[in-house]
Amino acid sequence: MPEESENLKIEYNKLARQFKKLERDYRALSIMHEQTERLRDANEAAKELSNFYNKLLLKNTPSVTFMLDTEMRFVLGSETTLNLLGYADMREMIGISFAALFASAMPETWVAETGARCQHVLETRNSASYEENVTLRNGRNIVFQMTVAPAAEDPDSHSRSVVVVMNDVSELARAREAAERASHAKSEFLSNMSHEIRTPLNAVIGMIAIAAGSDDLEKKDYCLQKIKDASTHLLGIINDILDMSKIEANKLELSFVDFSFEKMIQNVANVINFRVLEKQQEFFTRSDENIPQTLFGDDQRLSQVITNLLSNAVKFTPEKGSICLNALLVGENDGMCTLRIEVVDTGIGISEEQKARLFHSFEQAESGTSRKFGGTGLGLAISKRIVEAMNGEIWVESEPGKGSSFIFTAKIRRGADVSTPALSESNSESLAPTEDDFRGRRILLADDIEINREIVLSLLEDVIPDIDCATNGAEALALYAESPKRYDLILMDLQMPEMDGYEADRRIRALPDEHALRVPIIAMTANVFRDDIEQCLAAGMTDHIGKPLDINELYQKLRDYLPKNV
Amino acid sequence: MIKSATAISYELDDASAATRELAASIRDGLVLEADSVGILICDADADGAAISGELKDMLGINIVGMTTLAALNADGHREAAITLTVLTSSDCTFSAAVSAPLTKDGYEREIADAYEKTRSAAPSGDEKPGVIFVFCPYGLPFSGDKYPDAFAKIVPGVPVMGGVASDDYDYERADVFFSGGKYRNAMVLISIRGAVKPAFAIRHVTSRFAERIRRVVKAEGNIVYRVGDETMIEYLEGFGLKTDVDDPLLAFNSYPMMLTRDGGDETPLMRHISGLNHADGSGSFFGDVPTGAMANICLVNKEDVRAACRESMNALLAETGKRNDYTYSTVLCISCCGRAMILGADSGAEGQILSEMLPPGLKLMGAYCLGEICPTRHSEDEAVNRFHNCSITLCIL
Repeated sequence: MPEESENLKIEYNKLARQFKKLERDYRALSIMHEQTERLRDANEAAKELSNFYNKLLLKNTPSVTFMLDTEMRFVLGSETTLNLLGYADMREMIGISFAALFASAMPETWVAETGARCQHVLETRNSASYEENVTLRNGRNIVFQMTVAPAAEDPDSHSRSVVVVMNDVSELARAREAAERASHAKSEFLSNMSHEIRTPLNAVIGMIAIAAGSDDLEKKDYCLQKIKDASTHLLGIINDILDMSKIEANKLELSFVDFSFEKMIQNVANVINFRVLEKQQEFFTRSDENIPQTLFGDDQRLSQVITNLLSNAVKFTPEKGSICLNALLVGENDGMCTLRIEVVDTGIGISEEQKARLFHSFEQAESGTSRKFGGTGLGLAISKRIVEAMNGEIWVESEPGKGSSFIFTAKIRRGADVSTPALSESNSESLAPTEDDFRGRRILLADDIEINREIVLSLLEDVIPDIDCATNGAEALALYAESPKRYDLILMDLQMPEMDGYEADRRIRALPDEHALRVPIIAMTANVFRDDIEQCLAAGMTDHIGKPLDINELYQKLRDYLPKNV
Repeated sequence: MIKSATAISYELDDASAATRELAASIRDGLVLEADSVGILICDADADGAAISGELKDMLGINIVGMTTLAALNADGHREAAITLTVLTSSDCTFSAAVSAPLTKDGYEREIADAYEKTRSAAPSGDEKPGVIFVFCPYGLPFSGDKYPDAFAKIVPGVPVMGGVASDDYDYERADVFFSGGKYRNAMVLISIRGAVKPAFAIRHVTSRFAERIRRVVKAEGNIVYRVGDETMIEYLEGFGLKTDVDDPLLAFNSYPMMLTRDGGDETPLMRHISGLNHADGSGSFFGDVPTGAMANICLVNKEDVRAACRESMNALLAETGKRNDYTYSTVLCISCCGRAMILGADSGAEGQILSEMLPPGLKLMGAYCLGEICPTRHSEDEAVNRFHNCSITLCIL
């Protein structure tokens, strides 16, 4: 019996042990099963999310992007690819050969060449990137930036597929062509400029040589007149270039002042009349009486456009032809007047092709025009930008041989009705410089360039001999500080070594002398844009005069700030 | 050369009967040569201390060993079994020792002292061991990496092979034995010197990943606080895994973490979760987790376990094929308990594969452990020993 009992105990122990191990296994398997289920669910959710984003990616990829397998069969692609090929559902395309898929949309040669390239990329594992111009079967022309790249799991493994990305760069290509055209035009412009600048310079240098070698005073006078003409022409060219560079830098800003429209037209006519008479042309002006007497706008820019159109008309109209300037009020709304200005000539006229390029920078009707008629080719481009700044339009109506009508509109606000001084009051031409006499007054002239100082001294020696010179701002400051009341006016260059004109001006104004606050300081500088002038005034200067110096303007400034002795 | 014999007994309830059975089987199959040692691998229900003591007396050799979930012999893995493998040689020495209780602050010294015992006991003690076998207790207050780290300082370059004792997932009865003694906090080791040319192989299971690769941002030793921009627990929950569990070891058994370190020349390490701390969101692992390592969770299934097992044996045989000047006799396999649990009802699969692949004449022994120690790189001059989880490690002598 004890042996039997011992055997039973052993059997019991074995069973108990087996039960315990089963319990352990059950416990382990239960928790492992639960974890597996949970992880599988999470993985499924992650896969679904990944699929969702993959679909979004394909739907929103802007380029034609697709993948081909090693047999050149379609695997997947962006929605743009589907659109190109005319499919609604990508599943329709999967497994179809590249050649069959693309044959419907792309030219046969493209399909063959691109297929071969894909195959080559797959074999060599070297990406290819290139640009090509393709005419689709529907006639549409597209410039594609193509990238064909091998797709492998890692850099060392074989390519499993090839990825093709086709970016439509048509706009970019057009912009690049336009930029290349512009660059070409600029190169041509520079070539023209070289000619245009050298021509008057040649006249200046040649005439100086002739004058220097002649004792005949009449001949010298003749040469000086030619030098003056050439210099004025050169200044016009430089002003045009500077204007255009300002416009290209988007720095064209209009100034708004009340001005007399009639007077402005009269001034323009006065300027152009001289040239009209030279070519024995007829010139008429017609101004609509409904145009308000006073307008509020940028009279200088407006007259610049009209003068430019009239100058062109004079230039391109043969002798004894006629030119007419018409100004009309075509509408007014809430005080905003729409003016229509027409310059009509009986000149050589312009072809349709020429019209298209006429208002572009650096382009004239044809590239030979500047050779024949001169000019920078910038005038109309500048005019167009000014007119656009005035919310207007400019265009030309013309036929070759039948004359031209250059027309523009501009929106200008009605001005305050103020009486304007008579033209003669401010017409500097009416007063001869010799009538001025400022003897007893003393000027302080600051300029670092000797010839500039010499020009001023020479121009003014008859009317105001007492001029002290400084070669930089620091010297000017020292001279003035030594004896402030000695000077009645200061002519101040701006760009000078050691101390510039702005700094000298500020320091003079800061001197502890009441005279220093009111002594007229006139900036005399080659910085002639409106913002340059405004900067001078903001710095505390009294006025501004541009270089090259216009003697009439210089005298006018003296009249304004120095009482005459007469 | 080393000769060996293995014996098996299922007498868990009668230590003396088991001892007699094991001893008789060994005597039948092996003539002991100049020096010998016995390795006892047994179920936690068996009285390993008594059996090892009686075997020492009966065979006159040192017996070292440990408890296991399942012991391995030429017939495969066996649960509720006791296996004894005796190594004997006329040109190798086997010096065995048990360490003093291992402490958190003194384990290096205590391991060094144990090694010194084996060195001084060996007739050629000044000779560098060809391999050291270690059997470690479970549940000490330091990570499994400390064992190979300590040996790297004590005997640099010597390959160390072994594992951490296991039981039936009670975690209460995982002991090591040394000739009659049972230890819960000491390690036992065997230094083998002489004409021994071991080869090693290690494989884990890595065919599928959860693919949420994140960098370990904050870790101290074997505790990971932050992975990417999440706590360790948030990282696990991001996979959908349940973290409020009683037994983290089982709950994350199929989802070990694989660690790869920058540089790429290191074999990726597997790490099993040993505990979760919901208070600070951290997770503890059986081995150290270096800050900066890239972490990913593996999805392990039965086929992965089988495949890794086959790969490891192939790799081991490929190594032995390189040597014509040495005759191998014994394969020691230390595999992870987690692998056995993944195999579930097929828990004998690894043993079966190894048995089938085992070349004729070779003996097979081993155990399922709660941590494996095996070199990841080994040559005659150098061995880089690492602590592993979820891996199968093989050593051939």
